[in-house]
Amino acid sequence: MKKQRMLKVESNIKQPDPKIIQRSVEGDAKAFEVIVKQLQEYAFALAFRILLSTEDAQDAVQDSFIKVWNKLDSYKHKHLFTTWLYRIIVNTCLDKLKLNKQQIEYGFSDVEVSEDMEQSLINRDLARQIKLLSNSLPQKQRLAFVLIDLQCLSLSEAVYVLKLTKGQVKSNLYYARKTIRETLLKKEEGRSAYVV
Amino acid sequence: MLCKIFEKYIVLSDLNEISAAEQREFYNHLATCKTCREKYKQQEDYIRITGELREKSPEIPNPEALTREILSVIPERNPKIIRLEKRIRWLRIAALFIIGAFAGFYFQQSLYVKNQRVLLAVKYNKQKSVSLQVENYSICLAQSKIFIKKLMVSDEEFTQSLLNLASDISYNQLEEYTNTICLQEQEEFLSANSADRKKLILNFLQQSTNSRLPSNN
Repeated sequence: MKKQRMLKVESNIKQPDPKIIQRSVEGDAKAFEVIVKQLQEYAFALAFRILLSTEDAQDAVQDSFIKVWNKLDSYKHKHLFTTWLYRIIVNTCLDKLKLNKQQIEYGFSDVEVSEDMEQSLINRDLARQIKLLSNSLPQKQRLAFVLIDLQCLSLSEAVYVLKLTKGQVKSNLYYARKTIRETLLKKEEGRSAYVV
Repeated sequence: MLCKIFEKYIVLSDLNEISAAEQREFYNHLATCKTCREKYKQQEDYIRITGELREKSPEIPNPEALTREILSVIPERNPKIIRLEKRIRWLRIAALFIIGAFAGFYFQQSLYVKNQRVLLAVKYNKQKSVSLQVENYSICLAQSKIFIKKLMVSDEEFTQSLLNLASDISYNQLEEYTNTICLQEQEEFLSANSADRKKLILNFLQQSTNSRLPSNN
């Protein structure tokens, strides 16, 4: 039997130039613009995969970059810049989810509004697919799934971003994958029963 | 049993945390176990579907607008202010260090003062005890202990303090002397310095020994 294909794809995110980071630390907004332009797409992808809403994801990205700007001088270079950014985004998204949950409870849930209908459709389709697979997962399992399987983070990066131990991340990922696999199987069985 | 062990490997196979020998064992098992083969296939489906999902990146409706929006809300940072902030941070660290050093010094000093107090307390109570009877002497010692305990000094330290003071004269000698001497002698003893006290006690001991010895006559 052929060996199973490697699931993990090496992260191909280009790290910002250390000189650009240093200039940003010193307060150079132009240098920070370079970082924003370089990483906003990845930041948005992560925020969207967690929040499943274009508008919320854009807000989260904006908030995250403001936090990055304010905390730049505390960046320790111990981890990749993108990993540090991911940690900030995940925290911002979790805050947003908490806020959304409160708004839903009090009946102030926002309606998604988008300027570009075509792009919104693509995102909506993607959100629907992710939701279908991961809707029943607890938050930590869902984050482990999004970070490792959708954002291609390594195990050690996920450990730092989620502030969990290696064993906890592995365990959450294991149960997430198992649940998703069972969801897929049920979906497949339902489809074949419909065909019969 | 093997199926249960290998299930974890099937699900987390991409994390590459299995030895080559275990991997061989796994593929041997897979060739013979239908259930595991099915699970393996399901995992391949999972990989395919999540792979497709990964390829579809969500798109930002207007990336330039998002960049503009981000940059429009970030507060301006003056390099001079940043340098100043850095200096302030260093000053804070230095201030903390100085405060820590002072606190340490103060703590050491207070320990020293405590020790001095203990020594004084022991000396005072010992002097007092000389002028009293033996039972009072023990009460005084007990009082010293209580006083010392109030100062949170360990018994070892207390004993050491006593030993330091009593290195010249033994307690038994002291007790015998204080039992016998009259009030005038007590006053004489108290006003004498330590060398003279020692002499007084030794004289007394000499005399009492002589009186106990049988006369040659």
